[in-house]
Amino acid sequence: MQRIPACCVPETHIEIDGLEVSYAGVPAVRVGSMPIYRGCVTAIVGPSGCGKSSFLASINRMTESVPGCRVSGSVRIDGVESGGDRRRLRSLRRRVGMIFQRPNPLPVSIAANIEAPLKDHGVGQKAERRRRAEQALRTVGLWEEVADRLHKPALSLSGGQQQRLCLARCLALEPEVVLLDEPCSSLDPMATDVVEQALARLRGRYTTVIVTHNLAQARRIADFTGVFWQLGRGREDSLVEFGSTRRVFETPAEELTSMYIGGAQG
Amino acid sequence: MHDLALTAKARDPASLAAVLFVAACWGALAVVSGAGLWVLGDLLLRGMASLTPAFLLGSPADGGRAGGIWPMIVSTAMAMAVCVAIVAPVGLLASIWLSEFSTRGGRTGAAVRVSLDVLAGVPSIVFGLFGYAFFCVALGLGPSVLAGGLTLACMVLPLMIRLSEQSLRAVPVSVRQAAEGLALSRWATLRRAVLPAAMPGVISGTMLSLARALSETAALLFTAGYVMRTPGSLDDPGRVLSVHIYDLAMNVPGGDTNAYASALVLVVALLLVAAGGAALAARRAEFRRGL
Ligand SMILES: Nc1ncnc2c1ncn2[C@@H]1O[C@H](COP(=O)(O)OP(=O)(O)OP(=O)(O)O)[C@@H](O)[C@H]1O
Ligand SMILES: [Mg+2]
Repeated sequence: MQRIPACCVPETHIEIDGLEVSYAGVPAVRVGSMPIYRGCVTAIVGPSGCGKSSFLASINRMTESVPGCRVSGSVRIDGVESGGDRRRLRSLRRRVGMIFQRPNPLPVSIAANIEAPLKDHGVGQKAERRRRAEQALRTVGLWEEVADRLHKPALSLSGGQQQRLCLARCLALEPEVVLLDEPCSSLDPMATDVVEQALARLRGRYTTVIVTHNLAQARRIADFTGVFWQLGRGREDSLVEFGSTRRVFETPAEELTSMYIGGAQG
Repeated sequence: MHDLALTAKARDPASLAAVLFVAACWGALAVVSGAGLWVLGDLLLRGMASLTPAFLLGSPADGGRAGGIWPMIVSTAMAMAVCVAIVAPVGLLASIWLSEFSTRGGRTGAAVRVSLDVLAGVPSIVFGLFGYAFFCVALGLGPSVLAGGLTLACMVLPLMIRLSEQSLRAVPVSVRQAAEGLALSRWATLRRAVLPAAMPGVISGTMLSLARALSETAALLFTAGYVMRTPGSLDDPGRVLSVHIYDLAMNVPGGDTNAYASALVLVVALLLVAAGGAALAARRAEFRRGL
């Protein structure tokens, strides 16, 4: 695995330019310009319904399969426009993995959850896939817990374990980018803590974008933060403010931001 | 405990309606299970005595009034085997086509679905006539357990396809979304996400269809044959249990004792099919628990 130095020198990995996602012709989110830096953790925060999930889904084009959803503008990954036909979509989604709000292991065994996607993507022989699965499970700190029950149903795991399995499954495919949509919102604080530790291990190796309602979590794990707000009432760009997490939280440049992190709204 | 809670609340008129509703539900259950138990009890009472190993393993004598039902058990098993061998794979593939490959809201899919629903409602005697004309005469199979099994397959396929399609459609979006997020191919999505999630339902659908086939009489009267010999191969004619019961009850004076005993065997076979299906489905369900 290629090791990328952590983000002392922010280098743009994904570039958002004039992106708009709309449902049945109604714009849900619009982002004029926003960089996502290589190897860093970028948090997206903002009130419910402001379009964070839509924004995230447009990065790996999960929006394509939502009926009535249209995406315009550009998302460039390493300078290359994302999107295209079925084949390009497949390679895009392999490079840009996604973790959903509710853990969604496949209804097969723990091992098959990781090995079947690898096999489908033509990765190595059985032994190689097994090795990769173990490595991914170790990265998310799940190996010790499941080593003796790899052939048990993945859905028999606890919610937190399931979410870490989903993360391991995503990492085993060696993506460059990991998108997480409120990955801890269905977990208790302890399980959240374990998932966060797993996420911390991704820094530097993967470009991570995480949507979260938990501002403390954003502060703990994100290098950069983008604050989103609903369109309308004169607001033409969903992105209120973007900057290093420290800067955004300590010296917010926008009134909405200080209001939001102060808990006055949202 | 329940009664206490109910009477305590019954004073208030809103919960009087609730009590009546609950009582009606229990009443309906009592009627249904009462009818079932009555039939079963009647069968047990009249058939149990003659249900001996000699009856199960013996050959019929005196037009079925005496002797056993071994040839019918063999014929039934063979016809059912033919039926499953066709219904399970063809039904599953067709339902996969309907739920996964036919274009959403498209005309072909809609037309196929309507035809299947119509076919599922066609009286079984019509399938019997069709089976006779097509398998026995046109394909030259003659009355045989093979022709009977194929006719049964035609008869229950529409039901099997629709039931299994419903299970496939009921797979939660989150499962398909997971597959999509992993950029799985269509094949892997089916194999690792959709089918494992739908399998318990598909299995129950298959078992329900088989149960229907097992209790079918009319479709087999002309197609499987009437002779009481044990079929030596699929090409031989054979009399299945349900036809045997029909014959004993309608055409053979003094055949009722054996008719009841045979009916008891058929009911036990149905229960075995249902229990087998449930067990198989439960094993698969372990992997999708919590979806
Ligand atoms: N599938 C859809 N069809 C129609 N409208 C949708 C769909 N998904 C989202 N929307 C609309 O788009 C807007 C943004 O939704 P989105 O889910 O992206 O917000 P969010 O910021 O992720 O909210 P939350 O914090 O509650 O998850 C909302 O107004 C929502 O009603
Ligand atoms: Mg959301």
